[in-house]
Amino acid sequence: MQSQQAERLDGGKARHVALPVESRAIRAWARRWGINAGLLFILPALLIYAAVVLYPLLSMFYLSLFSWDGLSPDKSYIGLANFQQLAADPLFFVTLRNAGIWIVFDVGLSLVIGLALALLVNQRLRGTMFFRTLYFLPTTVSVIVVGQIWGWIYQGDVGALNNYLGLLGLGSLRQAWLGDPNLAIYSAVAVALWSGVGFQMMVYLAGLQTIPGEILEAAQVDGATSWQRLRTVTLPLLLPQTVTLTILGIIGTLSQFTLIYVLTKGGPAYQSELPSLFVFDQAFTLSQQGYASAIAVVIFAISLIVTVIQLRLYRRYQGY
Amino acid sequence: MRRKTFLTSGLSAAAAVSVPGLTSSITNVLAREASAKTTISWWGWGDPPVNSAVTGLPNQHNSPNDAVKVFYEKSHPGVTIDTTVYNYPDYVTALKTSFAGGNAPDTVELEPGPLVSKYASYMQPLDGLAAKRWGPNWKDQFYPLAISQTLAADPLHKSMFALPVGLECGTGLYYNTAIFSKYNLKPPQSYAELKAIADILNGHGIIPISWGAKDGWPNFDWLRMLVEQTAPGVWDSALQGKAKFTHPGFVQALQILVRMQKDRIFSSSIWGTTAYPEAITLFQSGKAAMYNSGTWDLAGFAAPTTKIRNTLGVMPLPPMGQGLQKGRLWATTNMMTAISKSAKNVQAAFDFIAWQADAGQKASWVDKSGFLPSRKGMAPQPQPNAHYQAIEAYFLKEISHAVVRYGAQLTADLQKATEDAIANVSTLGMDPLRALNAVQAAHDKSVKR
Repeated sequence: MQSQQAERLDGGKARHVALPVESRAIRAWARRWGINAGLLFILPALLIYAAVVLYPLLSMFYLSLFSWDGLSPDKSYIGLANFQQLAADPLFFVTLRNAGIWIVFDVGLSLVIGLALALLVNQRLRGTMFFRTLYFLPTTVSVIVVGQIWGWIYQGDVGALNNYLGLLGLGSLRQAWLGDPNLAIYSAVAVALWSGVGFQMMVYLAGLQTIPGEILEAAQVDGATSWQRLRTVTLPLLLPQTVTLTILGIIGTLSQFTLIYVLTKGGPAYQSELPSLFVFDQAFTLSQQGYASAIAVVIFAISLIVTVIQLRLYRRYQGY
Repeated sequence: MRRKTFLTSGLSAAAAVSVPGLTSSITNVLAREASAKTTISWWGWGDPPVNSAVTGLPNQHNSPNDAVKVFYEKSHPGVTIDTTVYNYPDYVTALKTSFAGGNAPDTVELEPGPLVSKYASYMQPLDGLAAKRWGPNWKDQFYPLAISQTLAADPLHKSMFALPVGLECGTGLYYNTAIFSKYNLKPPQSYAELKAIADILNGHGIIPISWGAKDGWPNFDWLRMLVEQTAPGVWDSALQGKAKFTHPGFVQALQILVRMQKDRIFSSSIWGTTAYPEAITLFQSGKAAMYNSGTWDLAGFAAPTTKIRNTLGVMPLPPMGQGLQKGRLWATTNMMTAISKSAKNVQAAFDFIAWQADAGQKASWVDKSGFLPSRKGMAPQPQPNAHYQAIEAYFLKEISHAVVRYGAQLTADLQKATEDAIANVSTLGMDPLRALNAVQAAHDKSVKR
């Protein structure tokens, strides 16, 4: 009987498995009360998910309709006023512009550099394991530590970067890397690239290793140059990885907080402020929890749109 | 097997007989220990450790809170002070999350203005406990500024939701006398002289004035100080709604601040530099010649590990333009300590914070941290050398006619808007009047709210 049920659960594809006593007891109990046993099995996970994901998410939507300082027991319902305020808040659009810069330079360049590194370490040469580890290493370091180290490197007066530029006779290139409003975000993007590109490399490397050698060999026999093989064979086959990394990068940018907080605190004059830091400022510095929730709702909506696009692109390219 | 079973049964029976007695004695001991030991959690803010990699100086973290803990625990056996010290920006966040999450510590440090106003309703009113300890006229034992700034947190201006522990005076321009002597410099008496000094120092690779503009509050202090030169008293009037933040005095103060940056009175990196530990460390390590600060840094400068220890001087900021006068310094109650409504043992917590404002004030805060006393009749211990005595005398003299740093009407929105205006004008070249319009708008919004 149990075997038949187990068979029914996965459409009869699985081999018959002897279920533990506890599972059989749960099934019997569920059958007696007319409950789908599957639901009971996923209930613990569902409860945890509801507590740590759904509840905060719904709270965020709920709070976005209130004026609330985040502490007081009194909240005033103000409808969509927070969203109206947001639509007229130039600082929010500055943070979106900054997010755009971050996406173009961090997400875009990390794809190119990650792919280049993956192609390099995918070769059958001595020492590739060492370089794979070396390139991946920064990804394993805590973001706060990365921010602290690079903050020291970038420090304008006594930092390592300006000191080395001086020692190399390139003193004219010394900059206020984190203090110049035109440079701060690019300096931070460079750190994000350094810190994160190992991940892109690993994903591409995994993708490269799934490409059958015969396809590349066939192309080579047909006279394709290495550039042509890369452009017409390798890159199209890596499209799922590229799509995934792009989407993860965009969502990651919208939730990027720690690195930019440690490096610039969003300054100078909001020129490196990203949306999540803006939410933090509103919630904690200005105690406008309702307004902060409204911003978070909009960021959530943007992330959702990006995710939908991701799913559509996946469907389109699932043939690969 | 049987023997083992027998032994096990015997031991179990013996245990069953003796456990009630044993449990009772353990419980008694634990109860006695619990009654004898009281733990009071105490949160505050302080300087993060100095980054020795940047400065070449040894790490130092002489938190005055640690000194208070040691003093108090020594004189009050059975009481443990559980101290947590944050960097100020992190402290503001930690306070909010702990109070919102219902995990507030027993006692917290606060300061006048937005911080104490925001949390006053979550604190115990202390008037009754204070009157019991010091008598009905206990407020007279404190300096009037300390009482008025604490009372300002109560919308009715009646209850004290915190006890003032120390006073601060700022901002004076600290300078390194060794650097000044080396280049034959004298404290400037005008902006032109300050500029000439900056040129000389820049020529020798020394930062004239160190400033951590990445944090907002030092920028606020700079503007406050300059407005007291360009339009004395107008800051307070604007806070009270009797003048506008777009007053020509504010515009001129912002213009002076921008001119100082263009004239390289500061390093070009100020907007990427934190006040603590970076800017202060540049000064302490001799890489900068001057630093704009107040009494709160005095104890840190006196630490044996700093290069500045024996070469510290202080001077007022000279008149920064034609026809301007040397400005007044500001004073504030920094800091005050409060007891949260969720404190487990209110009397023990009060004894602790009252001690801070009492005997412990002198023993730890005034002598260890460089705070000025909030209670009358507590002269600070003589500082390590003549430099410090002169500096302390300077601040004590100035505090008698100082302006108030954070007026009661100052809100978090207004403070942030002021900091934003300074950043926008300084780094984006925004027109000062346009930037100040945003400050006025923030003020109007606060009043409306």
